[in-house]
Amino acid sequence: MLGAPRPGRLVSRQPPLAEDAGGVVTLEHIHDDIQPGDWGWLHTTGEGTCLTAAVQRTGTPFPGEEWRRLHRTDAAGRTRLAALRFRHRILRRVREFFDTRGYLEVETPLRVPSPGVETHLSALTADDWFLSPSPEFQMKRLLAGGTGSIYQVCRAFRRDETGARHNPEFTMLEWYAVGADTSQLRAEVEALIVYVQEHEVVPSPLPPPPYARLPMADAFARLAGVTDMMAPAAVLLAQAGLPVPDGGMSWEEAFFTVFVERIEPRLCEDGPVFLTEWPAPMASLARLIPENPQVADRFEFFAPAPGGGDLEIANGFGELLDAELQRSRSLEDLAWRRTHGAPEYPLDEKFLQALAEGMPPVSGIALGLDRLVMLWWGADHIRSVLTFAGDEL
Amino acid sequence: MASTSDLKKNLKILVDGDPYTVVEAQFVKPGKGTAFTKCRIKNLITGSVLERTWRSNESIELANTENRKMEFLYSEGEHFVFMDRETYEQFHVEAEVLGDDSRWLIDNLVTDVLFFNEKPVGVELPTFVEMQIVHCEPGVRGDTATGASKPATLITGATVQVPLFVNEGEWLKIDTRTGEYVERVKK
Repeated sequence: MLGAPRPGRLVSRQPPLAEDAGGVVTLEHIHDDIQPGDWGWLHTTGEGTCLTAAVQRTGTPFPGEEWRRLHRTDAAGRTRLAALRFRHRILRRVREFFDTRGYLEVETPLRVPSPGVETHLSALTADDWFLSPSPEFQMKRLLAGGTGSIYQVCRAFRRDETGARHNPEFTMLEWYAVGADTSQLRAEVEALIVYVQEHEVVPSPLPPPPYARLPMADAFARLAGVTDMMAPAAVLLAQAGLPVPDGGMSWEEAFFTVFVERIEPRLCEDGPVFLTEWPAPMASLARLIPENPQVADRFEFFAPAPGGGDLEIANGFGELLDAELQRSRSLEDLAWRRTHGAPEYPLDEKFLQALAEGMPPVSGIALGLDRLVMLWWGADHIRSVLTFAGDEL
Repeated sequence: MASTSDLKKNLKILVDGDPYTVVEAQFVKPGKGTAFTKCRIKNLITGSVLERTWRSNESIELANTENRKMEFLYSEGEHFVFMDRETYEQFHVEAEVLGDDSRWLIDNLVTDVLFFNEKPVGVELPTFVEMQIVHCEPGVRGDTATGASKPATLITGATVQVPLFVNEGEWLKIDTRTGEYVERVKK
């Protein structure tokens, strides 16, 4: 394959010279229309370099803004284009990993009638429907239809989530392992990381697995000094040495305040961690653990971030199969939304019907692919691994 | 009042009664839960930096701050008198606002003065100022090597360490961040 065309500006016709980012090059051929000062694309072939007719007249910036955006080097001397090439290679290996394990790749619609009713979700609307914040409902309907294990790489949309680690439109890798429990799913996350790191040159690899499995209650005890994560808000905050604000806090707010202030900053001190056994009120779409219904069969995967701290990479569930329980949880979430002035989204009745008809026992996980690529590339901002961040559109 | 989504670098906010500028803001939303914005903020009066986290439903109080270009006129007891270059309005700045920095105030120096609730609370000196030496021991001709130094007293009474070849009456460029001699300048 020949090199990609690069911008070049004609310096002189006699001798035939053009400049590009690397210096001055001698041309074999110049299109008749091109005058010194004009710029176009330099193609290098076996017969030499030519400046083609796709020319921008003098007066537009040389090289153009689009070219500069992809070729500007970061602090480490790497370009956005290099990151996009890296991303392409990672994506190919990820697909290869699931394909060789017998997963079926699926594509579900991005425009959906219900975005789910989770308490802190803010969805983007599309006509009178929504841009999907997660492909979960449709993928579970497929599971109820008997697809067996499936995976999907798709866009997910969440309003008001912008920052160094968030973009309102991001890429999700979601997969469901039929018949697997969450410990097998965690092992599969490790296997995926090993597979990619063995097959691609990764600038900042994760340490080799196995990674720590840390129940949430132990994280609260060890990192925040909290003896019972289910204790009332004031107790959680007091034990963690945090002030109780005027007006107080709900238990959930206190839980996440302790999490953000005390646990997250130190969670990955010794490397990546699977944080397991979340409190039952945060079960979301996970089942409760039969032997200990105080906690949900839910885990998240965290890894040390390039810029310090940690990065939340994936969220996994031992999936809840009980349609009635799923409905009552959703109604509770909806009630919360109503009292807190959040938009009330419709329930996805077809998803609930699919659960009622019977979904096979399954564990599922959603992984933020942009973040994993960010981590491997050693980028401290998500934009570095996206073609366009929200503010570049 | 502002919301946590307004927390961006350089936003001037009021925290516990003091004005702060946001140095870094990071949006976090762990475990499908409450959203937070974690910030590093810098006190505009003391310069101290601290970390602070806001929940997304909390409101942020903005600080009424303003930077004005002012010219230093003269000192008067415990005050330094500055003039706004646009309005010619004069302000008395308390000595404690300037602290040690007052030693680099030469007449007619133009600086940024930070106002908080209409009161001057900070003076940001230019990184470099040029000042004349009023007293130092005679120079040693030919000694241009680095290393050895001697004290020199400047026109404001400030003292800096200078190389041995520097002479009384000469003008110096001083780095106001470190209080160190940079080089001689021709006047």
